[in-house]
Amino acid sequence: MVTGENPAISLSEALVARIRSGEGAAEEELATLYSRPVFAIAAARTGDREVARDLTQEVLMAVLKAARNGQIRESEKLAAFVQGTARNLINNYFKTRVRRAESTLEAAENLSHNPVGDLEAAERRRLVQEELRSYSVLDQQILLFSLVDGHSLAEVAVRLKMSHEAVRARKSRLVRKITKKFGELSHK
Amino acid sequence: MDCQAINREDLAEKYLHHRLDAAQMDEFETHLLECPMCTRDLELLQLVQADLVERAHEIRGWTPPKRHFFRWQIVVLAGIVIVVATASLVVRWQKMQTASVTAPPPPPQANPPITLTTTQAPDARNVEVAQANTPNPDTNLHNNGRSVKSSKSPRDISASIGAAPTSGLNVEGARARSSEVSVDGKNASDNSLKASEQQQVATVNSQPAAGTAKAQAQLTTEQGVELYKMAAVLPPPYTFSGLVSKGKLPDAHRKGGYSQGDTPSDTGRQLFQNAMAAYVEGRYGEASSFLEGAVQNEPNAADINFYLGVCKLLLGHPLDSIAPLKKAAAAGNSQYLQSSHYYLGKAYLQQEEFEEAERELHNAATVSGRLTSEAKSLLARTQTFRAQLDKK
Repeated sequence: MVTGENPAISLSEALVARIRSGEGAAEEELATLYSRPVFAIAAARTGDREVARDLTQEVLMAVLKAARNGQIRESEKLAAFVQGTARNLINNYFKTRVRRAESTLEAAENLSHNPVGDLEAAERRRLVQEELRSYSVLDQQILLFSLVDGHSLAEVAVRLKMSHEAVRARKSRLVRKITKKFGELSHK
Repeated sequence: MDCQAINREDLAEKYLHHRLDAAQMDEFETHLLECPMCTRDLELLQLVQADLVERAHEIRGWTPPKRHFFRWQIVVLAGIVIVVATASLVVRWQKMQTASVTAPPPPPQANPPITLTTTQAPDARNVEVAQANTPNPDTNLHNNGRSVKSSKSPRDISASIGAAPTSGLNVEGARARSSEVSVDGKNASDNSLKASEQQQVATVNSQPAAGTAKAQAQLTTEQGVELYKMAAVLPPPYTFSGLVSKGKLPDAHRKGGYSQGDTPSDTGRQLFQNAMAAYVEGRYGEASSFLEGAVQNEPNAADINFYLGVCKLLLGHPLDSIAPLKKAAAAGNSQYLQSSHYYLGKAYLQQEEFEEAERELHNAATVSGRLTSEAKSLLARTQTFRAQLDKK
């Protein structure tokens, strides 16, 4: 059911329809579309990149399976379906703490193995590290205390004996700089 | 949920720190699945996080520089600058004050004389010098009517005129305190300095003398110094023979102390002895008071009048010294005759009444005694000095 109003919704409906019809390229397309955000979500929720990688495969496989079997009732809400699947599987992971690395589906191997994507991610990671090392120690401390330790800006200001406004301005400038630099890089 | 709200509220960061509630988290994750830009931003944050975690120990180990020390340095530096600036301003102000006092000669007034007294005590044990015992060629003499200036030395020998310290002799105040030092520390009450000889230079202008044209003339440095030397007074000796018992007075006193027809009063003698005791110790003010009491009992006593006049001179009141010295001289052929004329000459010199000074010195020179040669010498100097003044 194409609404004709929202291109994203139309796209997801069409994609689900194509998967259900058995089109292999459509499955690849779905995996490419959602693998990165699902991995980001899994990594954020678990804090373990390896676990996140396994969970990403599981999520994508579950979504593909559901699409093939016609279990996605509101196909225009594919993103919400993927998010719900990811949440449930991650929660299951926390309940069982069992890694489900093994998969019986043949497509799982194809989905998990994306050497170009891995290379790009590694390159991006290297560039980010390089960029961070070019910052002053004070700037790195601000980022460490706020992004890793989760301190508020006021707490960071007290810890570094700086004004709250100075810390806020520095952090804002740093995040903007990183986002701008690597945003442009990823668009190339 | 849209990208702007996510950026505005730092939702990505909150999401990474699990600070979103379940509903917000679902909504955010659903947005991520639909928005590659927000996914990319989240990935970047995760990469940054990962790298910072790897180097967390290294980054935490760094200590920020002590900023307080730097601030203290600034405060101390500012303090030093302020102190130096204030000091230089004060010095400049003092210089300006000095210049304003010395530069313009003030309008002539009713002959305020320079009074310079140097006294010599008879007892070498009690020697006091209130100020410089010898005139300094570089000394500046300041008077309302005249000034003797020298730019060589800014050093004072007396208190200043006005607020700021100035060079020159004080002709207004009673005694200059600033340059008086007590060497042995025994008698600091009269601001004097004890030395091998008792000398005192008091710079006083008790009353203005009668105005003369000379008094308003400008003296050169050399003339001022010469006048200072000529007018300087050393206290005449007094041989203290102890307190005299009732009705038994020393011969010296009997001989020259009374004029004919006087009956010595016990009270007068007692006061005189007290006065002399103070005189010998250099307490001329106290001696003067006793002598004033004594002279009421024995108004014509040559010794009382003589020492009263001398005390007045030593105290820097040359005008007040003239009358008792004249009385002492008028007593006739006493042992104080020559001395009375001699010190009258000094008093007139201090009053800058050179004619009278010459007359008295001449009288002193004509009497044979221990001051004859001194009187002659001083007379010659006075005449020369006067001639120089007349030339001008």
